[in-house]
Amino acid sequence: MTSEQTPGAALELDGVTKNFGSFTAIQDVTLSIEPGEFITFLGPSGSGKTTTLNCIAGFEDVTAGEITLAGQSLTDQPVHRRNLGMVFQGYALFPHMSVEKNVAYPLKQRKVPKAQREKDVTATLEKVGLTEFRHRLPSQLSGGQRQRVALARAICFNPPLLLMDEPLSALDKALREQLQQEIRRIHRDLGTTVVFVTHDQDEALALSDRIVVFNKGKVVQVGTPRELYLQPENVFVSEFVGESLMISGDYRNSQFHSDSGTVFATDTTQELGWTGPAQMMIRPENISIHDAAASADTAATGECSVTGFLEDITYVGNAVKYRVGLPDGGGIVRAEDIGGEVADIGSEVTLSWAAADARILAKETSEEPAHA
Amino acid sequence: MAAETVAAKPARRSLGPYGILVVPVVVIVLVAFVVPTVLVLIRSVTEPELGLQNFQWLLTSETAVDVIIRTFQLAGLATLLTAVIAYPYAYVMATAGPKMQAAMTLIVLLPFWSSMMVRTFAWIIILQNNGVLNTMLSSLGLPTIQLLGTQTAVLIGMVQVLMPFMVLPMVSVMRSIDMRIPLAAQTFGARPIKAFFTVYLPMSLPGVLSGALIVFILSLGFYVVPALLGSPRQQILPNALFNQIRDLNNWGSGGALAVALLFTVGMAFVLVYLVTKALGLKLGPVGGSQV
Amino acid sequence: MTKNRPKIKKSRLFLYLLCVPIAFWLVAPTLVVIPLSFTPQRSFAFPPPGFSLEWYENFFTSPQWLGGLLNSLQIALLVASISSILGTLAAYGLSKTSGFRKTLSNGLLVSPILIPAVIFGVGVYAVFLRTGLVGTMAGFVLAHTMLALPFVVVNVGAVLVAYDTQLERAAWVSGAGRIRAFMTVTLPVIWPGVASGFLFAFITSFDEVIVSAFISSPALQTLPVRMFTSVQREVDPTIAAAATLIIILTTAIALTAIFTRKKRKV
Repeated sequence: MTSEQTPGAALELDGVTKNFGSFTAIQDVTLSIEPGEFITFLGPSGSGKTTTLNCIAGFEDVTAGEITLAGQSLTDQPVHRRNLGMVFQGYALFPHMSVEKNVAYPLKQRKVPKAQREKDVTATLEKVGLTEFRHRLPSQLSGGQRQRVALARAICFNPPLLLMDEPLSALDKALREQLQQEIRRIHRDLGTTVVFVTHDQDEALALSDRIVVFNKGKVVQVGTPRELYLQPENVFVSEFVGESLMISGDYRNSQFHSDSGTVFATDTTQELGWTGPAQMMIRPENISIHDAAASADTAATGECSVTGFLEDITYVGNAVKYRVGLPDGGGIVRAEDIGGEVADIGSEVTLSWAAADARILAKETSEEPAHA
Repeated sequence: MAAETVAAKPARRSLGPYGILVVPVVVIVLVAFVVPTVLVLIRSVTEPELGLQNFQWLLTSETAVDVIIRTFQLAGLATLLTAVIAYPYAYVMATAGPKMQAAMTLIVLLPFWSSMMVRTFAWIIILQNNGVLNTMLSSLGLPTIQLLGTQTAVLIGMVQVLMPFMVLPMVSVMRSIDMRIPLAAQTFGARPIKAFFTVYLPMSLPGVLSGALIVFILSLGFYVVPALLGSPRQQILPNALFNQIRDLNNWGSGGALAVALLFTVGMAFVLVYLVTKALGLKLGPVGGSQV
Repeated sequence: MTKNRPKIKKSRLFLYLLCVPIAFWLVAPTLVVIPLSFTPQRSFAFPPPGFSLEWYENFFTSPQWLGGLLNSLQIALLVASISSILGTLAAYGLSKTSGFRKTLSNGLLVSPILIPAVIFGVGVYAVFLRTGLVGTMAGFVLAHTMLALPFVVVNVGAVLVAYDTQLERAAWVSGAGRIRAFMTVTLPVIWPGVASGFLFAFITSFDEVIVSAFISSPALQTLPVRMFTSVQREVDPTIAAAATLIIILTTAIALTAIFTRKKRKV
């Protein structure tokens, strides 16, 4: 089987812009995707991720810019000559064709001889675990099974690039996680390049080699899940990917001055090269939380500390999430479950963290999209 | 979300020359339907010579004026009768179970699907002087009635075919009425009859109006039923038009009658539009889903 | 509330009883032609005083009656086919356009339903007199197609509203060009709308009297026109035989339609 595989192809987007009349859906998207890489486009509705995908697929003509696959321009190719696999949000299975006819459809368009077609369909259906359903109609399948058929139809001809448009959004959580694993496995087996669109950050973190975060028609950050989580480059990414504690203030003289006047030390390795209005972000698990009244002396275990009010407590398995309100912000703190709450809701708590774990981000004005 | 919805619409246009698929059909309809129809109207002022003499005839000739008034009366009566008969039928249909509803839809559509000529011929057999109806009446010892050749016969035949065009829009509006509202009116002390007239009837009015519009327009165009069940002395516009052209070769006065007919249809549209606007109603689907 | 219950039921029963004669009036009258077609007399007297197949024999041996039926069938089939193709293309094109152009084309294509057919009849008669199309098959097909097209456009348009355009995109991505994607995916999915459009078009043409009365000639007549002149001029129970045959034919078509639709759903 390995001999039949086409390895994934490199995908390049260079200054891709798409206008609909006076509305700019995506602006100057430039990306370089490695062969065989699993890339996720992450962003809220209307951020431009789906439009970008549609430009790659060819459903939209780009207004400006260039898209190349394996070094060849796609921009002037009609959709049906781009040789892409695609899984649609609503599955888009042909309702009048059986499972095997759906899967065979792209092979038929490629004029694959009948015997070979049969073989490819059988192999692909085996891969997605649908062998015994091959004669059923899509209407006779469950949501998860339909999703697998859609996947099978997209990969049966070993496309160099597989596009997936929110393929799991209609499924329940357990099924979604199971299919995420299968998609990863199939990606490893095929070695094809995958572009996966989602608005679900957990899904993006779980699946991707790298994530492209979209906001308001622009790419705001590209990075591995770890990079996005630990080193977000702007407030949008830090809020969209994972939870955090935020404090509003100013950055100057390599120090963070909160709006109410507290000065915090910052990570000296983060070279900013600017001063001005800023947000300080700390991830929940890097903060320790104590009851301010009970242990005022032991509070300052980290280099930085601040006092706030405990607003809410949520149990998440082995940990506890505390929502804390601060004079200049607030957010989530995550702590090991120590067999009880550190304090009651409404009481004063002290938070502390190491300066190296705090990240300074430029404050965004409401008009200007993310500071990239 | 907003951006993606905005994205979807113009995208379709950019997807290629789909408009071209419409062009040949539009051209054929323009050449084979619109042009001949417009030519008829033009002839009303060019035949036998340029001028308004045909309209002068239309508005002064007693026969022509009678025909126009009779057409209006017949269409109005047919619409009223259809509405009155269709309303209880539609009400039962809208509030019945799905099986009953399917059966009632089938029944009301049957005359529409069966051949116009067959149906009209059947009415002749039933309504003629020694026909089915009178045979039954006399066997019951009742006096026989002369129906064939009267407006009543025309109405019996017309309303039967017009029923689905009234029932379907009524049902689609009635089905959307929340039955708890009339019930609520009853709990506030309104008697069932009063609750019906003050609450349910006004709510179902858009369906009645859109049904009435299409029924009125269709009744203006009936030809076979009045020609065969009515009297030749009580012609309506379509029949008069046919005679002027096919029998008398009078293109000018025929054209004037056509203008009058088309004008009436246009007036019906305007009238219903004004009524719905004045009452602040939203029109139900014209003609219903089947038509 | 509980007191009102039986009252509501009583009024409901009254309404049901009201619907029975209405339903009877809608369905039953047409059926009188069936016994009449077996009458042994040259009269429309009812009930017929005996049994005979004379009028059926007359129907099938008369070139006017049988010829009319064959003409009608031929014209209706051609009209249904042509208007299904043109109407489907137009409805598909319209589903991809928007704005003023769409409203205008839509209004134009549907106008033959709203404008009284007699006006159009006069119009085609005038044009056909000059172009020599009166009493020709081509003339009938052209005129009837105009009347049948709106039904196809409306029926196919209604199905296209519910059509998921993602399916077409999926076909394109799979390697099918625009035309092949339409033929292999879109058309099979919207097929019920096309089929019912075809049926409407067939019935519209097969049943048409007024426009046909204008453009028919002694040489070429449709069955409804033959029936129309027969009723006006003579007492000939052959018309009852013709009517019975039409009832059988339309019932058969309707039953097939219902049967195939049920089968598809399973």
